[in-house]
Amino acid sequence: MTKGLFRRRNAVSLQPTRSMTTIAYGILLIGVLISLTPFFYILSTSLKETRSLFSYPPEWIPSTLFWGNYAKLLQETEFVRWTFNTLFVGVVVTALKLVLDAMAAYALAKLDFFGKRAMTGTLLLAVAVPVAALIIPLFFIVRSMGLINTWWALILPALANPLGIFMLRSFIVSLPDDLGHSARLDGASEWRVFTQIILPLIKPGLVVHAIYTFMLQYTSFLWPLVAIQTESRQVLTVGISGLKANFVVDWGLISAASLLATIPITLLFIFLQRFFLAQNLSGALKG
Amino acid sequence: MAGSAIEFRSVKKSYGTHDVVRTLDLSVTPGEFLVLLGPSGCGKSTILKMLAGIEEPSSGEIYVDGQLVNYALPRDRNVAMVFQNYALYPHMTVAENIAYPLKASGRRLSPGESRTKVEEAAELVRISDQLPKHPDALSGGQRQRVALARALVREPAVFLMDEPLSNLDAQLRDAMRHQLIELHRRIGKATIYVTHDQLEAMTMADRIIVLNQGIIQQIGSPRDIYHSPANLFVAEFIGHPKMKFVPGVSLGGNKVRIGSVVLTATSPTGAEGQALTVGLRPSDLRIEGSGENLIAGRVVSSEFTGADTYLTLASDAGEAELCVRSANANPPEPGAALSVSVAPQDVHIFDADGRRM
Repeated sequence: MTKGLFRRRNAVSLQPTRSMTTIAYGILLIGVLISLTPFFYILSTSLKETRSLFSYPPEWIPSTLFWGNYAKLLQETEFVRWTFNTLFVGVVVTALKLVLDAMAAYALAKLDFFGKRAMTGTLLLAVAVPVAALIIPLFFIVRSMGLINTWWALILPALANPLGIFMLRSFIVSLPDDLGHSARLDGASEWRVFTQIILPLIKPGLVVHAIYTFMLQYTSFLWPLVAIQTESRQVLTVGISGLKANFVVDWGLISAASLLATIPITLLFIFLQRFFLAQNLSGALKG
Repeated sequence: MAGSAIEFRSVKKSYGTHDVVRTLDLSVTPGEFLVLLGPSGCGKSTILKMLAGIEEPSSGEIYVDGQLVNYALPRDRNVAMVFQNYALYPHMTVAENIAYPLKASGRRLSPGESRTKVEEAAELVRISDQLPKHPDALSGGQRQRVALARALVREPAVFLMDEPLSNLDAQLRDAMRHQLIELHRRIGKATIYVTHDQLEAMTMADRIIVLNQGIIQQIGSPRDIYHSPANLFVAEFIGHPKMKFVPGVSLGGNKVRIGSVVLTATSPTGAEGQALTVGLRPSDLRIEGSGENLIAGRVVSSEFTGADTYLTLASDAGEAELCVRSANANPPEPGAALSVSVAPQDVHIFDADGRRM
């Protein structure tokens, strides 16, 4: 009787069978191939001379590695400066947004103040407006402030994006109110509650926000194209796009630039991904 | 009142048109253990939160150690609170949790002094061996002790406890209850303890305040409240199993008729013919009694609870069934005839408005 019961239990087990596992891995493999193919194609192109790019049959793996594209990129273009500009703007925007958005999110999530609902609604509306629709008015505002071609032209508009506030707010809302109450009774000021209790508990949210903001800034093209005309402030996306001459496109050079441009963002992601592990909140509340 | 540790003067709390606490006047003496007892939503936690500074009263004044605290920040009220859900900081160790009030309040203590205070508080609640751990590695009872130690380390004038034992299992709750009583005896600070558990209230309190719908129903010692409930709500809420209520009619003097039975009470029953409600506790009915206040009946069902058996009785005291406690190892079976008697002081008489007479 007992044996039969166990056998039947095994029959409805949720453990995947071998064939299910194989199919799952097959699907994942296809996904990986689809994701990696463009990357591999760019890598391959960046290591070929321009004249061999269009050879037939196409040469997926170059017979000889050509490093000339990388040498030309680093010696004859402003690639290093573009990279520095992009990283500088990305880091500054990310740092400022983390501070501002976390404070705004805390206020919206846990504090009571006059006009809170109206403010939340207005910010939510601002999220709904597409960036492209804002470019022209934004240009006039920034120009009237005399900020065109300055770092501030790249930094200030990015800070006004309220999406991060809502992302962090959802993390903070999920924290029990009693944690804050308890800290206040323990003697903490509102600033201490925010920095010593709330911020450490939303670390995963802050990491997601940081990566999202940095990537958005790193890949931003339209606004830097409009706001920056001088070479010294140019960012990677606009710089690489400018490598296309009027009639000749050096795909090897562009591929090398694109490939090198992915390195910082990849490193950032690898470095921060360990923080994605969900924060263990158990123990804060009843057991 | 001079010398009060805590005082509420005409304190009200409303959310929109909904009154949560209606005109609270209350004074707690230093060292007193006061229990706020009532069903969910009766306003007892709101009273605690107003005292702690988490909620603002809609009107009225609150004093701690003679100081008006209505406009004081929570940290300036000299109160410590233990929350129902413990509210431990999960990213800190037990030692850091306990030390947090010392750090956050900006008291200038050397690391050695701070460590000593933390160790003393941990020792008091017997969690010294848990100091390096994080809260998620602790059991419910241990977490509760950490929350207590964190409150103790501040050395406040007043302790507030919001159903601190409600998340523990029955066995642990009993043990913690005794330890809390012992701890209060040693600390000697005024404590307000919120619970909906009458056993906790009866065993721990110097005084109990029974609340319902934001209104104080009765203030008194556990014995007063049990033996002389001020109204039907208190009579029904206190005591397990609950007091049984039977409609009756006053016969004048101290006599009341329920069904075909005439009972004598110690209190006057009002004008002859007045409709009343008579309350009888299962523990006050004596089996095989004789003489005065005798009620004859028949056992309908029995409920064995271990030490006692509770018998439901259909009686000549009207249609409402009575409940009687039997400590006999062989209580009467259902269907058996049974007479019970009740002492006059245990006959609780309530008028038509539910007030004790």
